Amino acid sequence: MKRIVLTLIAITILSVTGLVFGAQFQANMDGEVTIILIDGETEISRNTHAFKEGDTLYDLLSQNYQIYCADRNYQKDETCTPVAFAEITGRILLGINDLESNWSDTFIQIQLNGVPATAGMDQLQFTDQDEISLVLKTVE
Amino acid sequence: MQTKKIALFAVLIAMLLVQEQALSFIPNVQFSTLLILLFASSFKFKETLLMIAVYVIIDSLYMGGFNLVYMIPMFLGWSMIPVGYHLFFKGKENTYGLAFFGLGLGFVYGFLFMPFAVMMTGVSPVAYLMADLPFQIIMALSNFLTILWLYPPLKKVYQSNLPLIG
Repeated sequence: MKRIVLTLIAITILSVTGLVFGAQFQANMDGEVTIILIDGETEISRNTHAFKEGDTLYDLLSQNYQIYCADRNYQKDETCTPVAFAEITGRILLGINDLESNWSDTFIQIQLNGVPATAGMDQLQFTDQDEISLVLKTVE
Repeated sequence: MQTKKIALFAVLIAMLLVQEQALSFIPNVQFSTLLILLFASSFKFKETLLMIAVYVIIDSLYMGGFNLVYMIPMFLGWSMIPVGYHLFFKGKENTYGLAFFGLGLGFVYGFLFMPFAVMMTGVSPVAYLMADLPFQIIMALSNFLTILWLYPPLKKVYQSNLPLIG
């Protein structure tokens, strides 16, 4: 009995974790964000894009850039199908235009107004006039 | 060390690696904690550490990195299991206690990677922790549930079969 109760509590916490951390963020207004692509220290491009209410960062990027995601096995997936990682569903950005991570010793860091983001393309909360940088970084 | 025992360790390490790879598409959901806990409760402390060392080396080779930055926290993290078992549970096993130990280990394992990840990627420790927290919770609860339900029957199987192997 005790074991079943503890199991139910654990499953509830797992579900809440999924709901809290896996919730997709959709813009709650129309606006514009600036997307900056950076290879290491070199700025490759800087463009401003309009977004509409209900857009996610993934929507914005996929509409304006050629992007690649990682699949379940961390291999390149050009269709960017969302992947469920335990309780959390989302996408991992593996490449955008000419910036491409090989996964093993490079990665693309998402920065929101110059600060490393703590969420990915499906969960990152952004608002009008934000600057989102996608930086190809090398693991040293 | 007896040849039989070396062969047994090889099989057990292979099982550890295979289940990890089979479940690798779900980050932090695995039976590694459960299996290492079983090893810790069935073999000597030094033997378990040796098995963990071999496991970490093979895992790092297979994943293509062989990177000390990953290997050190990994070895330290898994070594917490035999250390914790021998400190707190040897001779007084309690499934609930072990399950809560596995729960705590999920967080400790994540924290151990933090300084190395921060050093490597340059992200702030707070940003790293925030991003890693959901995965620590998943690993902690996965450890908790697997130990709670599977440790007692697996331990029984180990106890009845290990003497036959020698």
